[in-house]
Amino acid sequence: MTDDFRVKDVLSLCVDWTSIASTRASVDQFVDAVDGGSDLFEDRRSAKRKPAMIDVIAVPLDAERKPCGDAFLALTRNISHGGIAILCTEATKAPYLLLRLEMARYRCLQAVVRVIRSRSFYQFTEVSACFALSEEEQQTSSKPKKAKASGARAAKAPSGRRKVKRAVASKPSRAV
Amino acid sequence: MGTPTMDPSSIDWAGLRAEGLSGFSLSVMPPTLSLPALPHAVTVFLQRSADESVPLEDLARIVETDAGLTVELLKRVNSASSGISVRVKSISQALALLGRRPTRMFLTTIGTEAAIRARKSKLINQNSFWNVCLQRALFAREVARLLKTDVDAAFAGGLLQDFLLPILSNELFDIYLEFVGQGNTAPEALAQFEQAKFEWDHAMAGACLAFQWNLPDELVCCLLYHHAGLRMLSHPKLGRSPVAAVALAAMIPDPLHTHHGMEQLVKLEKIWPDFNLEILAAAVDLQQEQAAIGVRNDFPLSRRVKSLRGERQQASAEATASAMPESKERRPIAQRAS
Repeated sequence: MTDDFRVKDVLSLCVDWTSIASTRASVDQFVDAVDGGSDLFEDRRSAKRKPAMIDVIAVPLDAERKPCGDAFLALTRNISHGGIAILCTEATKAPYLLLRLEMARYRCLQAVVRVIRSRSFYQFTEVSACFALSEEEQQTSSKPKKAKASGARAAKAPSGRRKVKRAVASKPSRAV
Repeated sequence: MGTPTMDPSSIDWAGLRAEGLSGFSLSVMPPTLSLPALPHAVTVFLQRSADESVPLEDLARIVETDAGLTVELLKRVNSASSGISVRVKSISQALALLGRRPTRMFLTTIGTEAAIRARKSKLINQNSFWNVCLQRALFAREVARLLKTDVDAAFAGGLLQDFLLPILSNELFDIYLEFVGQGNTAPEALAQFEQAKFEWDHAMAGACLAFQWNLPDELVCCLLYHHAGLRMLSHPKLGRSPVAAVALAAMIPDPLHTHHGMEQLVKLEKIWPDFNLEILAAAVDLQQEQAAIGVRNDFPLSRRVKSLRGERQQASAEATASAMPESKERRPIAQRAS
């Protein structure tokens, strides 16, 4: 009998653990490079969602951003500058996920996302999440929120981009 | 739980190749770029041997038109590694003993190497380059054995994965020189750099040319996905195929690009008990020595593994030492006196 490897262990090795947080610039660059086709979702969101099917390695993280479960494979449904929706076969209750998205031809994004909503979608689980970016974390420096919000409230949850705008708007008053 | 073992013959190689190369053709490359050509006998052999109804005698006659190929094939079939006890004197006998597929793979590798060696490269020393290619090919074959997949395809893929690099780096010398100057240590950095500069990379170009040369689809896929890294092991279709073996072999650094791929292989050891880097490296070095291609191997794989282990042990010892509270004994004498 041979001693074999587990795919979940291999997935975990594929993640670059030296720098798990991503920046606004790297997320924007990646999302801009995604070819979402011409029919972007018609909605009133500030960040337009692009339908996209990209392979994702996901690692569940706890509130302190430490791995709290086995890595698994997922597929994106859509992506925007603010967040992402993924489909997977695993049900996860982790408040954060570390995602490694790899498009064809070596374009890659590794980012931590905060789970907003997790729901059944046919035989899959659809996880909606917003990017938790390093600079925005420093600006807000608030405690991690619980992934309780659902439905319409979740859709209105402040996205990364809105936080940036708010931070920029509040700058002059702080300076005064 | 590991990935289920998949018979390579059940994989839709043509579909995977078409999907991987979709939207890419060699016409996007600079028109001044002069690409190599396979020896005529190899091209004809690959075309005719794809048809199973063509008799072996006809195929033997094609090989016999090229003296170099004839000698190489007879050398191969009479070598100890083929495990044949009788002395083979004719090409038709060699074809019958080796089989069509292994012969196709063998002639492909011999022909391609000859085509590339015939050209000069300003940036890459061809002897060192083919030495590393052979090292990767032997490593890919050993990994293919562990994965219980096609060892011949893994060897050919390992040998030819970067076959276009000497020519590309010669013809687009200034651009590749810029890459060498960057000193990027990620294994996929070269392909990323090429994508940024040209919107194609050597893996795509090599696979596309191999497809034009009528090379087998599984070999084209090996070339196309050789920079996929460890992730290829998790691929539902290719995780147990020669493509995965070649992707692991591609993590061995080459003269053009020094990267930390070996460190990732060391990590793989921890999650795959059968994958013992020292045993694999010893097997590769022994076979490389036996292959005796006439060039001294200055970088045996075992030495690379040992030096990597030494570095890691030193780093962990230093980390332990710095974590220890500073005792009197460890303080310099002058400090103790004060």
